[in-house]
Amino acid sequence: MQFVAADDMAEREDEQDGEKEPSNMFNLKIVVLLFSVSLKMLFFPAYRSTDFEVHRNWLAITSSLPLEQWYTDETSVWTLDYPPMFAYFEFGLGFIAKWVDDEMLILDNIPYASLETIVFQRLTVILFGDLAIFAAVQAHHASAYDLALLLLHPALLIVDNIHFQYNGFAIGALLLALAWLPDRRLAPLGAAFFAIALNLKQTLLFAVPAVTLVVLISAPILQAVVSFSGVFLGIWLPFIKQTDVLIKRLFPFGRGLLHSYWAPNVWALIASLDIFASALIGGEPSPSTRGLIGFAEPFVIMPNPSPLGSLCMTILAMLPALFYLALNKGDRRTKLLIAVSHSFLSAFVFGWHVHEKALLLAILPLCFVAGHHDRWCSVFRVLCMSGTLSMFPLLYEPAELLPKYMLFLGFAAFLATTMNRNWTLIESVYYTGMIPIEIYSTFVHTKVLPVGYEFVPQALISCYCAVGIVFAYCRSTSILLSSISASKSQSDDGGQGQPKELKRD
Amino acid sequence: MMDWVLPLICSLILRSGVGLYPYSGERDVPTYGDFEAQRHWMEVTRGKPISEWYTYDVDYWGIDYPPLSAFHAFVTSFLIEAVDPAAVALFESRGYEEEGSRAAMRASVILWDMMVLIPAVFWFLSKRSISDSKKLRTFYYLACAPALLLVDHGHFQYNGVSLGLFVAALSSVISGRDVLGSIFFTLSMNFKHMTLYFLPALACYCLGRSRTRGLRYLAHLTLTILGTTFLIWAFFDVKVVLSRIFPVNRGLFEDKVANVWCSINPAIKLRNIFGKSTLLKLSGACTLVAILPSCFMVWKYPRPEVLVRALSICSLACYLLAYQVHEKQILIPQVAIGMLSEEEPLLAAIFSIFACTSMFPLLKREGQAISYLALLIIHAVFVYTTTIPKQKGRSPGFAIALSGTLIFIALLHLVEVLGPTVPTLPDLYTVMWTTASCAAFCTILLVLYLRLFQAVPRS
Repeated sequence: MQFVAADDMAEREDEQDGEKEPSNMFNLKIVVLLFSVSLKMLFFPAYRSTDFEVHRNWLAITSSLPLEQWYTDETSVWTLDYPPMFAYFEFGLGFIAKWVDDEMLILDNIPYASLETIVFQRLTVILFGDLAIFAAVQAHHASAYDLALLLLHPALLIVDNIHFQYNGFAIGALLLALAWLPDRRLAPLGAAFFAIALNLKQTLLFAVPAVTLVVLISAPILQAVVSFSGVFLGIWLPFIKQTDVLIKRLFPFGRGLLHSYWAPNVWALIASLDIFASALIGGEPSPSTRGLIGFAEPFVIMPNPSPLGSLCMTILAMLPALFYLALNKGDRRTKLLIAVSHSFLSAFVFGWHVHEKALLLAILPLCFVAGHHDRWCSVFRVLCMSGTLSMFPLLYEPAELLPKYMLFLGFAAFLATTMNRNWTLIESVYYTGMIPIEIYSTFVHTKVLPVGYEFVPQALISCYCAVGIVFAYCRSTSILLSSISASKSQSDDGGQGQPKELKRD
Repeated sequence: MMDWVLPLICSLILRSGVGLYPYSGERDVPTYGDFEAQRHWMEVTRGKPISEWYTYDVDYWGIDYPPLSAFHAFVTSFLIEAVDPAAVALFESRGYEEEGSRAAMRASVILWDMMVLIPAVFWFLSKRSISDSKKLRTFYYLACAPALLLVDHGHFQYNGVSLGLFVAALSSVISGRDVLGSIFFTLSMNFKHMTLYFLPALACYCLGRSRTRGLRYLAHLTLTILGTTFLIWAFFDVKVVLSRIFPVNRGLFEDKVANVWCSINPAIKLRNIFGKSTLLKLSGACTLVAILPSCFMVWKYPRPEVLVRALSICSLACYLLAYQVHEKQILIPQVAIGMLSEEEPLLAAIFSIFACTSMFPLLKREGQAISYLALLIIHAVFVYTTTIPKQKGRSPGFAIALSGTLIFIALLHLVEVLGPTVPTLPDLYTVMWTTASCAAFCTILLVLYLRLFQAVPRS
């Protein structure tokens, strides 16, 4: 049957015309933004972790106590342990929260989650996160495709919009800074935003080496430094007498190497080897199987790193990114994004007491790169897939099973249909292997081994993801090293070498 | 085929997202709602012999859908039992709403959509020779219409199965396999009798076709329909089932529904003037008058494109004028108008919006206001991006009409939020929604009629 056949051709021409118009691109970005906001609204009633109450408590602290007590109050166990800029952010939200439901600002309401509170807090995550990322995309002159990768990333959705955190907001601020820093004219503004971003989330500190380097190379150093330190000091000034209190809150030393749920990094792999090895020898079981956080030395057989050793390894692992940024000529903005992503990835793979959510920091900057530089596709893909799988244990209630699987599959299909390049057999096998791993951990394990092995499902997922993430780290390092050597030979033989960044398009 | 993986998964993401919201009667002890009804039917069909399905304790959510629904509940109960046996234990499970069984029930709706509605929609699309972007639009209207998602995956029902069977019926009719189509349509009617709204148009189409194809064709169809019906009904006492599924005693309308009878109720209290049997005759006569011209046209010109138009007119007229209409039955005209989304993009877009607003009081009561809002934004975004760029060079009427509709809806929401509560008129805003939606539906019906008479002589 053919209801309409007439103006089919004319319409196709229309579509092609439309793609060239820049205003259409902006419209498309608005479409992605609106879709993202409304999709995330669907997840309002989903499971919320204790982080929801943590942030509610911070709202109460900042709106009901004087500034001096923000970092000393211990009414609730969920004390304020984010940097001052985030505290100001909560303070600002308090003014709107008052109109929504003033009960949520009462310090002694532990826990409190009225319908209004849920809608309000969820909505602030969506609006501030999505708008910050949208602004960053505009500043990078990036495409609607990049925006979709960022806003609809299932890992971000799971952590921010279901589990509940404000990562999108903090990372959006960082990405905004990264867009302006390499630009000679806008560098001071970028430096100011970098100071703000650092004060939203202290884990962004790992970007400091790369950012310092790019300022040294390309920006007007004095202006950038003045702007950065001005904003930084301005943020810290009200707390100047309590610096030691704040530092203690922000960097709680004395935690163990592994988080209760192993983040999928090198230590997770070593921990599982350690368990096998100690089981073979018949020695004491490793304490890391009991899900305890406070162990500085979790390994029985394998060598235990010290916090300083772990930090040294992180910095060593970062070095290729710094050399790449320093040596290679080319689009400095893209290179900065790559270097920052690699820095976060190094910190994730070798860091001390890493949270699984920290992988977002490595994934999101790459969203600007992966769509345009084929060599980074496989790194990006592996990070996305294993990163998202590793977030699955965060949502353990039955109601969220289907949404999280669908988000994962949807993103996988999106990547497969739009980024269909250098997809190797090993990669496909690895992704397919995720299915039995997840099925076993979620549905089968409790029926097969009921007691005494509760750590197995999470450890299994963690180790499986760790394989992919460590692979992504190695691949990223090798790409960086090959770029460095290429640029060296290029400068040696007077520009005869091959240009390395092959742009798509 | 790869191109369809992403839209398919997107439709599943939306479904699973809507499913996070409360279902009808969640934790509403002891009355509950449709979720408990569906769960209870699984419990009854699982625990009782087939002869007692329609007679066992009918006062507590007894089955009031045709037998295929009962079989469907029986099949689904195995899935629920696999997840949580306590959820379908006879009698013990009344009001059972645990996390695991809730997730399994939600998943079962999605699973049935995957098995019936979505394959049927893909079949329908394969029968139409239009570009992929147009197919995407039709796919959206048939498989992801906001009202459908809100009712099936939010409120909790299995309309997707009956609508899917109808789409399958129409796909076969379009490809000329009327006998196969009549089997699917019979199944659809025997799943949910609300698809009866389509029957007059389809019957006239077949009568029209029989003018050229002869009595043999008609006999084949009749035998198939009777045979299928007999197979389904053979296990049951027809009288008992009929009295369960056609509750004439329940009156002209019950809850607030966006049809003509409910909308004129504030002005003319028909229910106080006439008795129930008079009202039954009155609504029957009015419906007949409203659908007759479309039936005549499809009898006169028995072609697929006329059939689809007649089906949308016929079902919409039935929704507006028939006896004992429920608000959720708006899904019936919606699927027919969804099939017209290429010929009437504006009508389809606007109709989908009003289909949601007509149920808004119900959705709000059930705690689905936010998912309603989210789906409407997605709907607007989808229509603006996929339809409006295609209208370039033509009159801007489409964008104006759609924006006007959205602004109108937004204003109504503002009125409801900011307006005063009148103690003497507790249903004031409910009536506002149903009346506004009813007015929109009447206009759409008139336009559909107009376009039918315009379109037929041309083709």
